Amino acid sequence: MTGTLAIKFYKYFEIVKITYNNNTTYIGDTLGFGGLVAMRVWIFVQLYRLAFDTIGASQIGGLNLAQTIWILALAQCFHVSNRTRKIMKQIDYEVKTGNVANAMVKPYNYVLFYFYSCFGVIGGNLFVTVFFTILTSLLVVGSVPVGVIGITAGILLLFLGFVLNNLAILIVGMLGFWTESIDAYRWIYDKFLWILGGIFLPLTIFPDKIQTIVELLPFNHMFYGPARIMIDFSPAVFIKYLAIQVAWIIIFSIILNFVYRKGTKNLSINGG
Amino acid sequence: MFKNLYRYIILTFEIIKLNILSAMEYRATFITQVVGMALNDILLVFMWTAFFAKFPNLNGWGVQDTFLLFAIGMTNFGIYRIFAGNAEEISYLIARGELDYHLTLPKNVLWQVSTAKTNISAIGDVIFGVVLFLFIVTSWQQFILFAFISILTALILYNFIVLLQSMGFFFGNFEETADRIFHILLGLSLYPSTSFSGVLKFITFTIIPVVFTAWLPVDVVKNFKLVYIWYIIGFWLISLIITLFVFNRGLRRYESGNMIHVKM
Repeated sequence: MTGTLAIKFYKYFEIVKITYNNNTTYIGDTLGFGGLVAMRVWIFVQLYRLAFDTIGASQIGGLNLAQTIWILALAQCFHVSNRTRKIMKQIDYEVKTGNVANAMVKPYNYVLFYFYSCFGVIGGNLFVTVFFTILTSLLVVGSVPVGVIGITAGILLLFLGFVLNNLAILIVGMLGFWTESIDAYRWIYDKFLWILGGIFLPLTIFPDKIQTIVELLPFNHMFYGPARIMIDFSPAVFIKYLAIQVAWIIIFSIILNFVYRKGTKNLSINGG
Repeated sequence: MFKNLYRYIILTFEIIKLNILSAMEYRATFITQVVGMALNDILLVFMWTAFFAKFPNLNGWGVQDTFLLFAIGMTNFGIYRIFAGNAEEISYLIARGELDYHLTLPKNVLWQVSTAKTNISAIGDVIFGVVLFLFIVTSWQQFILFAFISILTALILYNFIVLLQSMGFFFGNFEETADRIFHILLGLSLYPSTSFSGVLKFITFTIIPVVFTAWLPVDVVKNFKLVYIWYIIGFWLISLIITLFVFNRGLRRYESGNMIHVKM
C-alpha cells in the first residue's frame, strides 16, 4: 500500500518536473513574463497614487498606498505565473481534437495529470515574476513592513490558492466536452478574477456589505487573499481565509469530478 | 491607383463575408463567442464603474470619459480584428515557414495574410462599443465622428500589430513578445489618460501609441478638435509608411519552410 502510494507520488512528481522543465527551457520567454509584471506594477502605481491623492486619503480600508500596491502587485504576479489561459486552451484543444482519448488510456489519471502540470507551470514562472515584482515594487513605492509569520501564512494560503485556481482552470477546460470553444467562459472567468479576485481592484475599495459577500466567494482566495496576508497579517483574517479556501477546494473538487465524469460520457471519438 | 484600392476594398468585404458565413456554420460557437465577448466587455465596464465609484475624478477624468474610451476602444479593436484577424499570426507563420501559401496567391501578400481570418468574438466588441456609444451620443454628427475615428484608429492598430509581427522576419521567434507588447497597448488603452506621467506617458506617445489609438480619439469625439484629427491622420500615415517598409524589407529575408499544404 505504502509502496503503491510512493510510486503514485513519484509519477506525479515527475509530471511536475517535466512541465517545470518545459516552462524554463526558454529563459527569454520567462524573463518576458517578468517584464510584463513589472510594467503592470508600474501602471498600478501611477493609477493608484493619483487615485489616493484625488480623494486625499492616506489609507483605504486600513491599507496605505504602498501596502495596496504591494498586494495588487503580488496578486498580479501570482495570477500571471499560473498561465491560466495556456492550460485551459491545452485541455480544450485535446478535447476538441480527440487527443483526450489517447491521454485517457495512459497510465495516469487525466485530471490529476493536468492538475500537477499546473504546478510545473507555476514553478517555472513564479520565481522570476516574484523577483521582478519585488524589485519593481521596491523601486516605485519602497518597502513595507512584513513579518516571518505573515509570509509563512501567506505562502500556505498561496499554495491552497493555486490548488483552488487549478481546480477552476480544469473545470472551465472540461467544458470543452460540451462546447466547441471555451474561450467565452475563459474570458468571463478571467474578468471575475480581475474584479472580485483583487487582480485589478483592491477589495478594500468596495463598500463594506459588498466586501463581506466578495470575501465569501472563491475568486478573492486564489491570489489576493494570500498577498494580503503576506503584507498585512492578522491571525483572525488568516483563519477565516483558510477556512473559506478549504471549503471552496472541497466544493470545486466535487464539481470537477462531476464535470469530468459527465464529460467523458459525452465524449464521442472517431477512430483513425 | 484609386480603382485598384476600390477593388481591394470590395474584395475585402467579400472575403470577410465568407469568413463570417463559414464561422456561422458552427452556430452555437458563433453565438457563444459574440455574446461571451460582449459580456466580457460589460464586466470590464463594471470594473471601472466600481473604481470610479470610489475615485470619482482622476485629474478631470470621470466615469463618462471611461465609457467613451471603452466605446471607441472596443469598436476600433473589433473592426481591426474583423477585417484583419490573421495579422496577429504573421510572426507565427514566419517562424514556421508557413507564409509560402500566401506568397503563391495573386494579390498583395500582406493583404492576403491579414484577411485570411476573421476573429468572430470581435463582432461582440463592435456591437458592445456601438451600443455603449449610443448611450453617450448627443447628436448624429457626433456618431459620424465616432464611426470615422473608430475606423481610422483601427487602421493605426493594424499598422502597429503588423509592425510588431514583422519583427519575426528579423528575430525569428517573436510570437510571444509581439503578443505581450500588443496586450500592453490594449491594457493601457483602458486606463484614464490623466493617470500617467513621466516616462510612462512618453512611452504611450511613441513605442506603444495609446495616445493615438485611445486617448486623443476620446478628446476628438468629446470636444471636436480638428487639429487632433489631423494629428491622428498624420500618425496613421507615418505608421503606415514605416509598417510597409519594415514588412516588405522583412519579406525579402523570409525563408520558405518548404511545406506543402492542400487547401480544400
